[in-house]
Amino acid sequence: MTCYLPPIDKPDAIYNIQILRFDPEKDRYPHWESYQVPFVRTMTVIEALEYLWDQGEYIAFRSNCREFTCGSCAMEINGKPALACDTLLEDGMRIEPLSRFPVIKDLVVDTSTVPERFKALKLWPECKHREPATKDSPPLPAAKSAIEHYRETYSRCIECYSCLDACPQSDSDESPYFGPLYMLQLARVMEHPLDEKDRVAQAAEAGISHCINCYECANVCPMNLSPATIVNELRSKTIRRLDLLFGRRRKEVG
Amino acid sequence: MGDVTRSRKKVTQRFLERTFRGRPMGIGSYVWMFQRLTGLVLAFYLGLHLLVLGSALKGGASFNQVMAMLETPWIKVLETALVWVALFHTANGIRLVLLDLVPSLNQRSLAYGALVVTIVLGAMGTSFMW
Amino acid sequence: MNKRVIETKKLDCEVLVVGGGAAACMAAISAKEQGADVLLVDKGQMGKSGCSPNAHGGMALYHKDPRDGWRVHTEDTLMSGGFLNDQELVRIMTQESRRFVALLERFGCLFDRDEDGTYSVRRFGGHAYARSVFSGDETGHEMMIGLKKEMLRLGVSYMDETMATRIITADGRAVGAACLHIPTGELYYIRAGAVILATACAAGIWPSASERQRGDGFSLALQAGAELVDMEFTQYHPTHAWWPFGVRGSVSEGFRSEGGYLLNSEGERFMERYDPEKKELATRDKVSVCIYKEIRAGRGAAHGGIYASVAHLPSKYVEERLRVIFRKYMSYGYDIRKEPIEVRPRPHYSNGGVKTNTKCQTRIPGLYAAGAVTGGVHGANRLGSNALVDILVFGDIAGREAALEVAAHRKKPPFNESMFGEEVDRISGLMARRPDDPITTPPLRRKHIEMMDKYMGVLRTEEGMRIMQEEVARAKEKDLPRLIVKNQSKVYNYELRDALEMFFRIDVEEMAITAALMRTESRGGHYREDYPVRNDKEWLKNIIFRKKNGELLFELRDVAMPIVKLSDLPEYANSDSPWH
Repeated sequence: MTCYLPPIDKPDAIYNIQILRFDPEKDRYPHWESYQVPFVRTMTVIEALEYLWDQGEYIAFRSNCREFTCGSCAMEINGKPALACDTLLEDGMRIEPLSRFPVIKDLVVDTSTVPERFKALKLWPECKHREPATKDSPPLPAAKSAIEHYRETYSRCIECYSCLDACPQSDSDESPYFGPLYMLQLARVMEHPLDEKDRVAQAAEAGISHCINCYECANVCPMNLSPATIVNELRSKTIRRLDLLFGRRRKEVG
Repeated sequence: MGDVTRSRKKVTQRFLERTFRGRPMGIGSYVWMFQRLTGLVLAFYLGLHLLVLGSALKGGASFNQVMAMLETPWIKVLETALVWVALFHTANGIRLVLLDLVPSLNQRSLAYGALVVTIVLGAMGTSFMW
Repeated sequence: MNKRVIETKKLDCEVLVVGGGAAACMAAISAKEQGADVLLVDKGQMGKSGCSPNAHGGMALYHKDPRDGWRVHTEDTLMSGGFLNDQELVRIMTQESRRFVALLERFGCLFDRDEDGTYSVRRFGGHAYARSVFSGDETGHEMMIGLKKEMLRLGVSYMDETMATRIITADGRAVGAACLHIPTGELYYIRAGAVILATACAAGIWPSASERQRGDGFSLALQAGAELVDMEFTQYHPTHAWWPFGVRGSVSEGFRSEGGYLLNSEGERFMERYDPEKKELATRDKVSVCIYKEIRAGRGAAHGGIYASVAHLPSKYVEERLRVIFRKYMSYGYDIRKEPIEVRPRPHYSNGGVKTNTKCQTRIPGLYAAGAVTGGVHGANRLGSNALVDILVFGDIAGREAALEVAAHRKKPPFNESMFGEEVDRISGLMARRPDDPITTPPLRRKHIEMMDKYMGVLRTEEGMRIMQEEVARAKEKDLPRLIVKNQSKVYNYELRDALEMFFRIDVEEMAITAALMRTESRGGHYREDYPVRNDKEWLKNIIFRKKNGELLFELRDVAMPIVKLSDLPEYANSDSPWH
């Protein structure tokens, strides 16, 4: 149990759900198991998992804020990556971990490569000389509308990795294309007034040309962002750059 | 940490799973799959075309022979299908180029537009051929 | 019992930061900038855990109005905090805070601007002027993105999903911590020259909106021998979503100000009875009390909350004016235009915590504390949007001071093997024990949450708190020794984590109840039905806890007023207690 909820006295129905279990200490391969959970109107998947937890079914899953702001509880629900706290429970649901990442246990996946890549891509305002922040530092030059755009387009990303999971072109860390999340973050830092790094070249190096315009990332995004549109905008910048015509090798990224 | 596994899914597996479990993918994905399939068909046709052309141009007799073979209705059906395939591939290709050049366009309407163009032109082509 | 079922490992660093929110990240960043070798251990994932990403409001740090300044801000904070605040800390917070908005922008955040390019500011309840810088409704989220990227830029090392279970001391000095690494089930001995506690507060011991605030830091500090202050004050938000099942988050003030009704089970607008003038728009504290009184009188809604309804308003109006709430409920398939929802007060902050000085040092040398785990800045009642400022300012100070102290000492502290061995035995014993009448964590925790809500909630009485006190004593004696961990897995054993948290919870509950019983008055986040009036003659005092040889000691200390005297704010003396 990670959050206190009113007890379920009279469930509206009993639902069967299936969960892909994997215990690294016992199993060689993941396997499906069925569970029965009482359903109350407006119950979401995370409450079903918590209910099972209270019953002594120790299914490992990450969950934190339950308000769609932390992005910890992304999992594949009926094949579609979604936040467990944002998906209403349905009968016969199949719940499995994000398939792009290595599974550690049950629904927990190893996402440690993501911050490493953030670091390799230098996703912070990179400038030669950074003025120290003092009491009298003026606000950075940015227009009101630009900031609203910045917030609504990029900053609302909660890094739940749903888009990475949905992207058919970045199905592992070895794929030539890094994935929509990184492109969104590159575009975000590119808009920052302090940033001086050549983000367009970085996008080309991170394999932006491999995007196939399927817009699946925009489809699954729980925050209703559109990484695909951002990818397209970035790519339209890369194709106007002749020095990036033949792309660059991945290892040069950074 | 124990054995680390990964249940990496193939695109087709995901496609089937999502389509038949009430979580359909967006039009972009389906259009993309068609684009790949039609691309394969066109590549196959290009080889076939060269082969037929090569054998037809060997001499007068062989030309007539090949021409007679191509007159059969089955071939005509296949040719019609080819027109549809090529039309779709072209229309969607133009959509992709447009998206690259003008990223603010709405991909969904463009995808439907490509489908409409394919259907209209395909119907015209079909009626013209038959 | 002595069989060690868990594996151990050793790690070394100079500054150990416990926690993963904004305060911890800020502390790690400023310690790293001083050149220290920093390690951050986080119970969740870095940048995703804690409450900071959920902070919606703003940061009260930009004194834009020319009449506004640190002193006005200090006075506002003291007014709200019932003068129990540590005034030196408030002064530092209000004076130092302004540069942090520029600092965060250098980390990659951007905050909302006005047309002329200056920061736009919001005014929150209790502030004399608008001074809160914000980023839409996602200020905390924006802040965490920046802090996380800066952590990566500086190369601060961090361990995700690692829970500190005990601060290790040697010769009265904090020299490291025992940390349970949840992905592997290994217990790490992390040796450090200085330890910074930057965990969350303890609102999770109540039926809180988010149980991430489980009070780990309070218990860790108490066990190490540090002092804790103001543990009786809890911050409530009156209208939190309660039913339909599973809907989370607060139902904002807008719901009531746009004309929503609060109804009891008889369909009566009960606020008309308690406050005929303001009705639903009475202060937060008052609404909380009234809702609780209705629920206790048996007029609560079907699932234990109170009904909140907008059914009488035109549906167009609801769609437009209550867009956020309407959409939120719609995403659960619930139409608030047709059906009433249930709300109830839930706590979201505990104002008390570890007592620190102006350098963020606790009573134990080498142990620092910053952020929500500390007490004293907010006194009895926190002003909205002061929390984000508190964690940034004191996170920064704690990191810097800890790094400077480590640099001055140079010598590595010794390994205290015996204390670590005790901790290994304790956790091994917890895993291995099989008593005759075992009890597992979930039912025990549920029982305690429900009892805390009933007896230590918004309405507190002597007899109710006595019942709770007995229950805590009983649980400590009877339940904790027979608490078992069924799941023997090493990888992601969340049950072990929950069981360990149960021990922390009992510590925090004990302090909160003892302090609440002692304080025979009502002030800020502490309302006693049997003493409903503020008593400034006797109770301008802080209750301070400390543990010595396993025994809980308390001390009453008069509040120092070096900056603002009571006489400086005549309106404070005339104002009623906020509950009335």
